[in-house]
Amino acid sequence: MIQAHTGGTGSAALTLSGVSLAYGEGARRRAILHDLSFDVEAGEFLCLVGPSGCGKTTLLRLLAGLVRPDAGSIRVDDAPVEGPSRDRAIVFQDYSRALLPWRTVAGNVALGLEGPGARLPGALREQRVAELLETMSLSHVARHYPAQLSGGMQQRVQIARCLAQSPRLLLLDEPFGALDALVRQSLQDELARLAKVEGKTVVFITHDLEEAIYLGDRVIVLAANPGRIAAEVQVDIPRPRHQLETREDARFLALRHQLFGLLAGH
Amino acid sequence: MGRIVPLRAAWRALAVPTMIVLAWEALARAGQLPADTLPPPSQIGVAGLGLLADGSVLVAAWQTLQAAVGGLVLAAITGVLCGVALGLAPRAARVVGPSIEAMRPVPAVALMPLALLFFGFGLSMEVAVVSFACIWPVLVITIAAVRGIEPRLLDVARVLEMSARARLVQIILPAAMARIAIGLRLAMGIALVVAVTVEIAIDPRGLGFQLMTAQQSLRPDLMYAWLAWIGLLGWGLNEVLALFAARGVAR
Ligand SMILES: Nc1ncnc2c1ncn2[C@@H]1O[C@H](COP(=O)(O)OP(=O)(O)OP(=O)(O)O)[C@@H](O)[C@H]1O
Ligand SMILES: [Mg+2]
Repeated sequence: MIQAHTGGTGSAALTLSGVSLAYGEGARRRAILHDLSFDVEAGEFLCLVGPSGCGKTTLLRLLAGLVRPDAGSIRVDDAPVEGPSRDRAIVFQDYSRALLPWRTVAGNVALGLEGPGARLPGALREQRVAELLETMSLSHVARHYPAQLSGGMQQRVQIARCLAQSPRLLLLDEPFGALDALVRQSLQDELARLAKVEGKTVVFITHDLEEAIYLGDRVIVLAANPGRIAAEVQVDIPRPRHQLETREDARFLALRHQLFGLLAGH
Repeated sequence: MGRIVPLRAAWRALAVPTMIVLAWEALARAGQLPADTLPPPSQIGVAGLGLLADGSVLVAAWQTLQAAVGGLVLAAITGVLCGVALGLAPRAARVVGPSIEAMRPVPAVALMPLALLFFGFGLSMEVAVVSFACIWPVLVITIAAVRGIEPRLLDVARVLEMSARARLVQIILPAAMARIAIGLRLAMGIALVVAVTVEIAIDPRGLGFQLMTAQQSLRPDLMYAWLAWIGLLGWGLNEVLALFAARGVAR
């Protein structure tokens, strides 16, 4: 692979070296992730694909600082990750559990603006929430409660809350799995646009190989038992990408073939 | 429709008590019932209205409510605070847990002599016994409620770097509230029962004490009247609880 990183700026925003994690006690102890090392550049859009149960969610929790590795180190901007931070937002896979059921949609998004290090004055806060709801096409349900929404809408609320947090690193765990094809495509484009416009570093987990190639500057394929890197490919397709043309691009198809073989092989 | 049906149901519900009272009245007037245990309902009614007219019902009910509500509030505050703390600290809970399980089955009313020793007669000792009885459901249910909070919400709180206080107010309490309310409702049901029991047994105040006094001064009509007022108060509190419950379900 040519090491020309199309998306990043050249400096590592995130560095994993020799990260391992095991779950369970005694004889039940099982390695979930084994000796993972990779960098994510500032401003890069990295996609992770891998079979179910290979440890993708676990890896993302490590990056968020919600779990500590048993071995190895995780560094963000050259500082070791000691715990969770507002600067690293995570969109959880189980979106229905990640929203506060007693807050409205607008209230849930506003949560990302509350707390230390995010002191927007009241009026600006409301305006920011309104903007984010607009971006996620949620304005019409701003006063609804999460339980009144479809799964796809709940997921969009979660994404809006994470954007409200204005993180530099955005971690997403199969965020578009619950969406229908049309909404999914428009959100893919919206996310790609936002990430580039705001210079965010993104780590995006998906089951869907095509989604990974379409969105990523780079795709890392994980293998299971224990979770480890099986392959890593650079996606040298220029941006902005287009749902139809990009997916018919020869480079796109070539990558799809290459990675499909890899995923199927494991 | 919506109004007529419950009204009809109410009349139907009243049919049996009305018949019993009428039969009781008739038999009492015919001299068929022992007057020192079963005075005619009309006489009880007059006595009951008399208690209302001279204000003694209100005074006694106020005293009983003070004790019940005071004990309940004390139990609710300590129970919720300790419950949240223990729910968040499994290790502490493992240490304290056996002691809680050992204290919980102690009948609160058995602590009356002890409370009397500490506080003497009056409101304080009644509040102490009531709160001892009420704290267990609140404590145990709060611990379970906090433990049962969706872990993902706690993850969200951590990622947002919420302070301990914000975490408690924004996440933990609201998430556990629905279940904590169940504990509070159970405690409310217990509070009045225990307050009246303490008054009947030793504390010279409130509805329970009046009930006992009437019985001891050989005024069965007064005794029944007090009993009716206690029943009414219990029924009223129960309605309040039901209202709370309906609100809880609606949310
Ligand atoms: N808290 C935990 N305790 C024990 N085992 C766990 C825990 N969390 C995850 N695992 C195990 O770790 C493995 C990886 O789980 P993980 O959720 O990271 O997989 P995944 O790649 O995200 O799967 P999916 O694609 O289905 O979401 C699984 O075998 C799972 O059973
Ligand atoms: Mg997962």
